[in-house]
Amino acid sequence: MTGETGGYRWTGTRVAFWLSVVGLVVLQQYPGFWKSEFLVAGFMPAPLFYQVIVSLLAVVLWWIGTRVAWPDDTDSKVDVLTPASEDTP
Amino acid sequence: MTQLVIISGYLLLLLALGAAASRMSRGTSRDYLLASHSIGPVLLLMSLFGTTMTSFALVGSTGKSYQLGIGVYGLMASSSGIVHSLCFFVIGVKLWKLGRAYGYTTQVEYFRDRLGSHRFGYLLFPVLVSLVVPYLLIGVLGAGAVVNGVTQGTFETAFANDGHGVPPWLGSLVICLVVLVYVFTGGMRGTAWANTFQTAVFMILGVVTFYVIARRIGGGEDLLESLQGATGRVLGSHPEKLVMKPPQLFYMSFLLIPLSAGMFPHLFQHWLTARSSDAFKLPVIVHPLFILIVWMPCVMVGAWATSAVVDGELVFAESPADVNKVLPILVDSVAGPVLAGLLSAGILAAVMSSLDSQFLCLGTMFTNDIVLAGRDRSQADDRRVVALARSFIVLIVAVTYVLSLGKPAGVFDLGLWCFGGFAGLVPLVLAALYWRRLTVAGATVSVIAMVVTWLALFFGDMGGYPPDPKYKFLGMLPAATIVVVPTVAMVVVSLLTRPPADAVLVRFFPRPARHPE
Repeated sequence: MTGETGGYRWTGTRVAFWLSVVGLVVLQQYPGFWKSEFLVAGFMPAPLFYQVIVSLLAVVLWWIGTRVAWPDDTDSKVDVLTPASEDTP
Repeated sequence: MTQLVIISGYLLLLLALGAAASRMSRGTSRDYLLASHSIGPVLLLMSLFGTTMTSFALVGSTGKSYQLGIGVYGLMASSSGIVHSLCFFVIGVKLWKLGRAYGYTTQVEYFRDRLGSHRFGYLLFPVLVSLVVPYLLIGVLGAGAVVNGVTQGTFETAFANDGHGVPPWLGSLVICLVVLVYVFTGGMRGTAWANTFQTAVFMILGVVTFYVIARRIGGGEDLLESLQGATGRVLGSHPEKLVMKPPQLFYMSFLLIPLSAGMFPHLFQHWLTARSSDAFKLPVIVHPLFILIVWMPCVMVGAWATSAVVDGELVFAESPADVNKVLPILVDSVAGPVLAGLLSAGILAAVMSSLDSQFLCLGTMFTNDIVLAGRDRSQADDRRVVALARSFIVLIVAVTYVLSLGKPAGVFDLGLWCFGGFAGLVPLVLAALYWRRLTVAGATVSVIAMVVTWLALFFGDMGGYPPDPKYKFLGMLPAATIVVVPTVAMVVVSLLTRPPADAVLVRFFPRPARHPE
């Protein structure tokens, strides 16, 4: 699978990564533990613990993203130019 | 009095930091505004995080958790961990590349170029500044509340109406002045340094605060027993604070609040300080972890505060009128004067690490987007440019300060309106970056639609703050409407108007599109 959006090249791996991001958002929205009164380790409410796990998953997912889905060609050398609007007020 | 001395010492330390950064200055406006694009990954991580975490994160989250319970973490923190990094990834890196290539310092410069319209800048500039003002207000209100909260009882006779502590108006004023001075002396380099230092301070002291509060109000032999004790009290008297109960649609609409980071002007300026695009990788990965470290303790502390007992008395026998003061009052109740002073300095660090970037950014926008716009910059006097930037900053800070003297809302609730406005502009920047078909007419209608929708919702029937039931619209935060209406308007008008010229597009989409859009 290949394609391009605004200079961003799509590959199968990148599509899989971005679908995982969508999956994480779905997990973040999942209401299954909201009403749970269980206390993890006797002090942390289960709904909060679940959201903490989501935060940790985000760290892992963004680490993967920087390896497999980082934008191409972002460090290519480009001469610093003057904004065009300066000449066309 | 000890708290006051420690806070004063901390403020003096910041002034010294600004002075040290000014010694490193290369003496140019580009160094003053963008630190000569020299910021590496660690400094970028700390400055981006410090900038996005304001009193909204510490004072606001604790106060809102006191009101609503631990669900606040799901509403704002875990969603921000996903969405903020998404903004850095999808918007920040691309804007950094374009900024380096074409010499942009502000968002308006980018949009003027991208849309081929100088006039568009005169529409976007006042909208951005108008949205920054309530954002500044969040910090100014938070600073005043913190200083007042931890100094209550300091003066024997003075300031009786403010609990014999430093009145909020005075605390806010001093914090504004200190930030102004170190921003003026140190510029972006000083701001980045101060942000890094203050981020470290508020994260470390935040963890210490959590520990101290847990030990004091939880009792117990060790930390785990203390944590269990503190939560146990809440379970006994306010069990509703330990579960989540927001309506699903309302909860979902909170995802749009952190999206606002994609259009924060001060964040744009910080992105451009990066040395390379690789410098973004560390902030993208670690930002959710840092949010966790700051928000989780604050949310727990807010819930604990509902039932906290110190020396046999409830800390909050009655709910405070101003929930911004929950954290500082709790800190003052459980810690000794030295520790309370240090912890307060940590909270103020979070507030100031956002204010400084916003102050600097306002000056940059005014000079680049208004004063120098359309003029030959090589002829501009660098000293005059910096002086103009400073004058505009002082003006806006003065306006914000005066607004803060009125009847303030909770910083969390104020933030929701402010961030909702910025979120309404994010579809515009996404379209500018990834959609060739965006036209200046579409962009113009989008901005106008955002402003009209925001004003209509705020001043119309539903205006107000949670938990006012009128606050919801179609079961969601107003931010949802403020995002959807401009997006639809932008797409429809862009498709109905003439496509942008190839001469403009080629600068931003170097490779021709392979598929028709």
